[in-house]
Amino acid sequence: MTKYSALQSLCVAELTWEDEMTQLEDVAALQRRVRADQRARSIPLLVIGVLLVNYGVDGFTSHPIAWQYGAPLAFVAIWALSKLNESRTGVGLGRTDYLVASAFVFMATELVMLRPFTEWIKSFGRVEGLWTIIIGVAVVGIGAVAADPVLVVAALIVAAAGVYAVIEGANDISLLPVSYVFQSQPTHGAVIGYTGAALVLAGLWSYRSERGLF
Amino acid sequence: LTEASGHPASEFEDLIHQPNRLAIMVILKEAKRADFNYLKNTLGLTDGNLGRHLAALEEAGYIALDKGFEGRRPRTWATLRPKGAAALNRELRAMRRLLDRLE
Repeated sequence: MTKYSALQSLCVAELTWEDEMTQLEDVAALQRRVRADQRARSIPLLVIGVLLVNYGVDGFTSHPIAWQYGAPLAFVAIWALSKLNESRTGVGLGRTDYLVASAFVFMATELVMLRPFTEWIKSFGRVEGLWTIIIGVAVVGIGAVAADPVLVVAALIVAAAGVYAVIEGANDISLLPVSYVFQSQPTHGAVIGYTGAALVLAGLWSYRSERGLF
Repeated sequence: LTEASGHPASEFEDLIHQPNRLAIMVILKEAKRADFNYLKNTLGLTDGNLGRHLAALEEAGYIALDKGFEGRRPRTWATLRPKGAAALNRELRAMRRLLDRLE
């Protein structure tokens, strides 16, 4: 007897509305089970949350890993953790390609640092905001490919925090592109940090749900 | 299942309408690939039963099986092929259409 007996009941049986409905519900249940085993929601939420807390609280300039590389590395970390999970549980990474997301974040961040953009940006607070928006857009892509509304909503919140940082950070002292010795506005740094903390909490809650499923 | 053509039920493909094979295809679509033990434990099948279902799907060109070793442990990974993904989409579409009619 399998755990998906409703699927089995349809072998040669007469079709009824209930049978078909149950079969489709079983398909949806299987999809949820696979995603839970992949940790498809908790891993990205936790890693991106830690990334935002890290740079939001610690600051972008004094960090041992330069901010341009921190975000792409976070997406590589999501991929690596998912591969580790694949090896342990036997369920693949799924449809989402975190390495493509990593490349997108890296290129978009580098683009922001090009001269035509830096002339508009003028303050490092705006750079922090754009960096946060880029991460949000990348996570929106991941959530859309995975058809995960929670990831998409989380990503939109990250992007909104980025927009806030762009607006609030406009008054920051301009040192671009001469030096990277920037002093960021504490307000928007804190907003980025709090957003990261919210993502970490959501990630922990998701992890608990994934473990509890089935 | 033998109604006139045009009825959604007539679009069902016997090979994957079989519930265990349909479940295998759904898992592979979601996970991209899964190993033998994961499929076995998730679906509650025996080694022999799962092996027969996988062989049937592989023969139809719907999935690919990659047998190898991790350390000393043999490990078989199953991957959904594009032909299999298309067949699964057709099947699920037919199921939904049938459901719409029954409603």
